[in-house]
Amino acid sequence: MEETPTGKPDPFPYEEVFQALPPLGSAEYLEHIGNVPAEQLPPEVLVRALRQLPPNGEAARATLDRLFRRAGERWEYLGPLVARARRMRLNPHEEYEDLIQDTLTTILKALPTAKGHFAARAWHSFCRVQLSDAWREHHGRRGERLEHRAEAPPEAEGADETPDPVADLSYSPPWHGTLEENQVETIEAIAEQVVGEIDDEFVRAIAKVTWFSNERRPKVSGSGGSNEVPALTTRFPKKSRFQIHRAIRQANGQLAAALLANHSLEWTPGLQAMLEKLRDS
Amino acid sequence: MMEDSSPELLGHLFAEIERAWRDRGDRALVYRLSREHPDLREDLHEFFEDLVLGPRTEADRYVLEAEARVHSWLVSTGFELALAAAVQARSHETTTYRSAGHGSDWPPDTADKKSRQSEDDEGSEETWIAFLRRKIGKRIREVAAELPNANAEYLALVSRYPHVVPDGVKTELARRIKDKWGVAEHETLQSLESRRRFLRAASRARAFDKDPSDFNELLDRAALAPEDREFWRRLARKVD
Repeated sequence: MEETPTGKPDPFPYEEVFQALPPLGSAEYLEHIGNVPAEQLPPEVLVRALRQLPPNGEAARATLDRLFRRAGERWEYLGPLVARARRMRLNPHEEYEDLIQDTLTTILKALPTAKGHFAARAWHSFCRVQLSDAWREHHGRRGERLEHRAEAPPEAEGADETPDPVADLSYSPPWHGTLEENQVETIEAIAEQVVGEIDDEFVRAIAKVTWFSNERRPKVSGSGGSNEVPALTTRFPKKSRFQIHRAIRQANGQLAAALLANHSLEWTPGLQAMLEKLRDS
Repeated sequence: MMEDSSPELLGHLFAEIERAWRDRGDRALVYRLSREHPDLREDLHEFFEDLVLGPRTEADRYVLEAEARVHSWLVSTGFELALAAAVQARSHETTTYRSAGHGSDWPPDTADKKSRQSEDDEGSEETWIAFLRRKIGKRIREVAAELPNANAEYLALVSRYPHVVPDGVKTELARRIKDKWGVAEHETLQSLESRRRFLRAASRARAFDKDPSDFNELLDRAALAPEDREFWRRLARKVD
């Protein structure tokens, strides 16, 4: 067992899953990693196996294939990385492809090295750090500040001249129109609890307005017609649309986490639809 | 934001959040760590959201096409170069390496050179390496293992910088590939004449790494054995 820099033991997080693998490199191993659902095969297990396999064998290649596999348009093990990269408004568009490829290059570069040990402990954190490294390669030492700026949508000044698709977005309680009736009460109770735990006053206020307002949901921005409730930018005039979007996503992330971690919930199609609604917020 | 904090600290905090969430469904740690590191609050919350929510269900067409191209590059080239780097690392560093666990982890290695080389083997137009894989179903290190006087690094560099490779060298490679695997010489030569790299460069936001100025420099970068390097040098001189 290794130790962290603080001296704490650093056990491999999926020891049982790893030990249950068929012998590394065997035909059974190849079949196993090709077919087992991602939920049952953590990326850290694949990374640890990869680091132990002879690099000139078929199994190492198959392990890389699985680690970077796409199911349709979805990367099986790169979701958080891609989520972050997609939100960064890169211009020109080619920058997005370059950034993803450079990030994967740094990941591939690091896996066989000592840095790859981190990947075998916390894969998504490792990928996120590589994304930042690749970004810094593009933008130099002050890249972190630019990284956040790149994510921010254009502010309201230009809205008079240019149609702003953000202004047309409206938010409704994520369980409206998706949940089965008998679940609404339970979900609202969970949402109440989540609101109570949010430690940022603004994020908490946004969560209350978007989840519990009984009136028609407010738009993010824009004056709206006579039948519409005030936009969130009107309700929170000191906050930018970007800050409002960030707050909504932060609140929705916490709500999704509360639902996913609640094992007593029956996972119905309605609940799944609600989760997707939260994801697309 | 994180500019005043070390990336190492941020990575460590990300890992704490990730393990807490995935191991125990703990969604409160992000709050505690945000209070302890208020300058990193945005980064920590954003990471947690990405961890829980993942990407949006729908992405724009360009993004999906770009990701598909990157995936093709991984399969055709990226994996190969990473594995070749690991092979090289093992051969060079076994004396300083200690095995652990099930078997033996890849040692700290010299992957940088190989992986940097992979950066330009990209794009939608087929590289020579990808062409070889399609035609003969072999990966670059397997091809290199069966071609005298070559290694994977050398073949990757030829694929990346065909414009500095003398025609005589290309012809010799085409002849060897035909003899070994029956691929028509003109197909290999045509693939090595690809303009892909230059087309791609025009659309990039930043410059490529410095090109080798000539074939000799390419040979120096390839880390060939001295006798192999001399073989290709002689061949280039003879034809020129």
